[in-house]
Amino acid sequence: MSSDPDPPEYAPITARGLERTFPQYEGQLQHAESVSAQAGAYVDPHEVLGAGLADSISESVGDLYTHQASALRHLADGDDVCVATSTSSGKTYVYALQIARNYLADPDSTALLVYPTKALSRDQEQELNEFFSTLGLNISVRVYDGDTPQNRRKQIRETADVIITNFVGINVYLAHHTRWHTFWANCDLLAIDESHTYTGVHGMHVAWTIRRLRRILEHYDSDPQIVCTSATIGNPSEHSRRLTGKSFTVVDEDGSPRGKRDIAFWKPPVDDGLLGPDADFEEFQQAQTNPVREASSVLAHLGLNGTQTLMFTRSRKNAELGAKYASNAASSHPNSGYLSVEPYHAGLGKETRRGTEYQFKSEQLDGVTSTNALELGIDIGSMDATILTGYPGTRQSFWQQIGRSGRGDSDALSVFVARADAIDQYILDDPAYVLGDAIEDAVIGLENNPVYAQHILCAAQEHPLTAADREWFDGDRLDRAVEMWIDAGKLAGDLSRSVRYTGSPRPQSDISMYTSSDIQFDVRCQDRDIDMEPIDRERAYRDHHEGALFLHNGVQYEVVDFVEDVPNPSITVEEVRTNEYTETISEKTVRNIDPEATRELGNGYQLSWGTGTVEIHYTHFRRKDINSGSATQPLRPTGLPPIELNTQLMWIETPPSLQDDVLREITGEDSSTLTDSDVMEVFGGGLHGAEHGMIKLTPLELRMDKSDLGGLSTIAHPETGVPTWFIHDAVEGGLGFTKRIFDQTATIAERTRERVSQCDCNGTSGCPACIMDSQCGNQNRFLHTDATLLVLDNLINQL
Amino acid sequence: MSASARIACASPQFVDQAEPSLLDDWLTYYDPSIVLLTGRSPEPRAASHLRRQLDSETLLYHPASDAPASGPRRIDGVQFVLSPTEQTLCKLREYEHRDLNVDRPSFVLSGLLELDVDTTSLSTTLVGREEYVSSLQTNQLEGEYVHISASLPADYRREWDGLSVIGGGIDSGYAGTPLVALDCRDDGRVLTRSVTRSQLGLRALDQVGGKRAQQLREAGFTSREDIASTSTSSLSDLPGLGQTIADRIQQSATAIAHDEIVRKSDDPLPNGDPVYIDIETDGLSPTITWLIGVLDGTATDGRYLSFIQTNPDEPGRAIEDFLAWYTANASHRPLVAYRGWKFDFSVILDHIIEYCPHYEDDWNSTYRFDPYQWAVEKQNAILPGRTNKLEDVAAALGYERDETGLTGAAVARTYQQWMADRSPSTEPDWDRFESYCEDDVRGLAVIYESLAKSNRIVSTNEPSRDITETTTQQRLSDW
Repeated sequence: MSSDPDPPEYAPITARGLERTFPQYEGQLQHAESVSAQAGAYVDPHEVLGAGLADSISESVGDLYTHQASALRHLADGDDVCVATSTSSGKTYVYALQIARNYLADPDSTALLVYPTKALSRDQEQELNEFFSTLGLNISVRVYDGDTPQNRRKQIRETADVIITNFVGINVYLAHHTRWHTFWANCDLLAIDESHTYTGVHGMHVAWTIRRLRRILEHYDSDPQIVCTSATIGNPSEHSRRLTGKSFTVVDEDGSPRGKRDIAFWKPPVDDGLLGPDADFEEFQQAQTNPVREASSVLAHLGLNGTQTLMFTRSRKNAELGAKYASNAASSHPNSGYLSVEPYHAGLGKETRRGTEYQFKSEQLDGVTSTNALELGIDIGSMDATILTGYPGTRQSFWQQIGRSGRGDSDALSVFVARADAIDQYILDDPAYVLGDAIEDAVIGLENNPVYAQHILCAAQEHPLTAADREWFDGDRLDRAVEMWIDAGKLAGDLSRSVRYTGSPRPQSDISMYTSSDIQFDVRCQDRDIDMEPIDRERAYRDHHEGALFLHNGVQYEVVDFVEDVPNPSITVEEVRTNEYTETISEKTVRNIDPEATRELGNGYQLSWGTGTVEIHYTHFRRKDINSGSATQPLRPTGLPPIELNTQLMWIETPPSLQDDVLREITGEDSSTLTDSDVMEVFGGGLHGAEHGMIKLTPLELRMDKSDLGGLSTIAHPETGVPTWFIHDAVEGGLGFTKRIFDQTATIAERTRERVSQCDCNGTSGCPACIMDSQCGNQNRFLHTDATLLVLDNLINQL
Repeated sequence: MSASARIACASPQFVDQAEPSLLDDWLTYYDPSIVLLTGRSPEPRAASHLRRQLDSETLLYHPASDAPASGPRRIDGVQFVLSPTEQTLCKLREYEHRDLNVDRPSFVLSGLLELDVDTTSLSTTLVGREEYVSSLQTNQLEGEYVHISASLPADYRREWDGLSVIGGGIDSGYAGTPLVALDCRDDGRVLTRSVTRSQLGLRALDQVGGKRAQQLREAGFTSREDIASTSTSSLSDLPGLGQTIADRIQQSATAIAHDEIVRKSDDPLPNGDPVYIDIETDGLSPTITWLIGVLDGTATDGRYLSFIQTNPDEPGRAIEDFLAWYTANASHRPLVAYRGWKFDFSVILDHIIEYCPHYEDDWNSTYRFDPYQWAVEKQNAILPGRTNKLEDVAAALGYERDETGLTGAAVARTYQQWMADRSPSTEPDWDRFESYCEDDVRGLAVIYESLAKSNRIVSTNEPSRDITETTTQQRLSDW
């Protein structure tokens, strides 16, 4: 496959080769970037390791990369170390060698390794055991997680030198920490692999779980060193500190070698003839070749040319669709042939996933279409090419997905297929954005109280809380949480003596590590089994109300029953076959805003950040035809009550005079001579566009997904009394993102202005590549690009 | 002995869904003086369901109904004030001396207090408290009052600035929440009892869940007595019920109806004279085992020993003393605890690791035996009694315990208060706790001896230690 050291230009393994050979080529290639090969930088292991260990390493592995050596030196000095280098740069060796050193110094020494997924854990168990055995060390590495049989657990806890697990497990095991006492008491190292993945809600849960873990370790007189291995992020030091509560030395000078890599920036063809100046969201979607379809055609082309390819999609649904489209594309390809391709995502059962991993590794598959479930280091072997269907949301993920192709120093190709979305188009306009050095910050919002409060209950159950625990749990905030839980009847005592847990046993099992609310909906199917993870409340209200259609594992379902007012809420679904999808319409209000930080910008402009209540009411839905986008049914009520989020938000207030300024500039008239609906369409459209645009372009700065945010704009908000737009965290209690937007408003507003002004869409309603948003509850009405630019210009002038 | 009146709490959802025989069984089990129907709306259907089941002596009280009872009541020697609205609270002063003896505590029953736990702002509000307190005019009242609100969960207890608030079981019997009863004692204490729905009616029978119970009812078997008095063949005729299952259902009904143990296997009990133990802690997530009650000998003549630690600052002392005694005097005898694998054994191990780790190996090599696990989970025998709780099983087997006016939760709560504030007023009545614990171990001995007597085959004189058994059991409670 990719073993040819210098492939001919006409083969699809280069960007130009793809341009020449792709049968449906219509000028899709916008930019081709070639990342040249780079030689490795090495250090003799004897410089950093003891003689015996260094000899074995020299013999079995060879020299160390410079970053490995540097990390090991810092560890020897007693530092906690974050290694933030590229994919497959041998970060595992850093903690593996530290474990070996610790073991040689004290054979009772233990280490805890935490991986983000169970699949990765199993992979690493085998690799590490082989590694230690090659070194001639009798170190036993065992996985201990939800899949570990009950009857092996005791033995693993008591005999393993290294235990591999995940934070969902640690949360639970801490409830029974005495059973682990020998392991804790000897624990010298805690390694957190792929630490950059802990952001958002999950990151908050993990951060508090780590504090609980460190507190219990301290109870057994242990204070292990911590190694975080991370993909390259903008703030490795800050992120590691917020994640663990310790200060880190960062090692990010990558010494590993790289092969030559081509990156093709690919724009699916657009049929402009279909688009009038008033085109709506659906019409834009119709005009552009569906990016999943386009990516699947590229996958089919590469696969049929013997190039094994991994295609990333942004959703489980698209992973499913991608596999289907690719098979179809292969049959209509000029060298028509059979293409073996399978979908892969976390919603599939474990057996199915293991099967696909194995088949891909053993080259029985030409391609796999996957969500980011395969972005992390699961060993599915090397592949020649990767395809990114849409920007994965962060530069770090972008490079992680790109880096999946061509492991080692062989040549590789990656194809970035842009969606009709503001960020994707921004990147096509300006590939330097992803090719440059800057990388997003990873944000952990430790300020979220609902998540914090749950972990305080667990900590009290694990060991009574005292005044000394303020050090672990954010000072006086602990006093407030304790008082709340005492009033609620779940804790008893006082911090000066001890606070004990008095609620129902095992509060740990009430924590869902991926949501901030404890309400989850189970999914049941009337006529067959369905292997689908529970869904959180907000998503259930939006996408799984009665009558909603959705696709799972290649099968279309309709929700037939929605039950919430019981201890285990559930939705019941049945299989259907229809050419439709559902669109849900919502109404949103923001109230009880309480600013915690405010920046007066002058001339009536003001930025604020604080807390408030966001009420979202998913009122109606309708079905639309997948192909034409036209409604097939009238609007129907969802029957659901509004849901409330008490969360963090930032908002921008403008002077009331902005309205007339914008209207005059665009229509030549002012509000006294215009109808209310004209005002809404133009000025309202400008505020709405600024809100959409800023939300859509925030992921350029922060490691997040735009669905982590929501927004609202209004020409006169009841509480501010002036034209205002809000951006809120989409999770109860907040995620910390809006605080960062508040801090970085100037950059985000400027990037938004840049994108809207450069967008080549016609008319003034915008397009999905600038201010139209698929998640808009008002069907993208009203939006006005020219007014958006004026609003942003006025704001930027004040910043 | 102080007077006590029992309130059985039921949510409207429970009453609506329960068939009459289940309600009947629930009422027979608790035999309450008051039935408190929770819920915030009038619920006429649930109220009329209940009314049909209640005898004339039991008071049905539903604070949210359209025309709720109100005013002072004296029930079983205990003083109550039914206060569906704040207006009744305003009259408390009038009731004092006229209707209420101010030297005895009174229980105020309402639905006026509710919890709002706001984790976003980290604050808990007792909704309705301000109005409640201002209606009470506490500064003008002489008597002592305990405030029970039907809008709070059953396990809720908290002093709010001198207002002693107890939950009246808003969710009682709803979905997985147990059905609770509150024993209001005229010393002002409230003891909570609980039973789960699946321990009542036909579902209390081995092998009978919701679906099978319905099937049995449809076939005309509405009570356990019906089933105990029928032949297994008439059960095994029902669709989906084989002979084995029918046998087990029938045996289980017999055990409950006739108060006797039904043996299901020939498995012997451990050899050697058992040492019966029961522990008292500071709650269900315990930080201290402060009392280990030991019965050395038979239910009737055995010697009772207490290993007690009255000083919470030495949390390992009771366990250490007990283990010193056990290793010196009884190390080859089986340690028997009821539901030991679910609680006592694992708590003791946790506290050994925490406070006296040098005993860990000794403990791990003891032979521990849990009659509950052996009988119920491993299905070696069917126990009599309405529930499989120790006190119910022992009572069914004829054991009469002393009335100590305590429950495990009340004992734990008292010790918690002692841990928080060591003053003469909070000092527990240690003798009473020791008697309570003694009652439990003697009850346990009664159960064990009855199991031993019910052996189909008398156990042989094999060596007494059965290591394989011990390790299997350890695994079952393993994490």
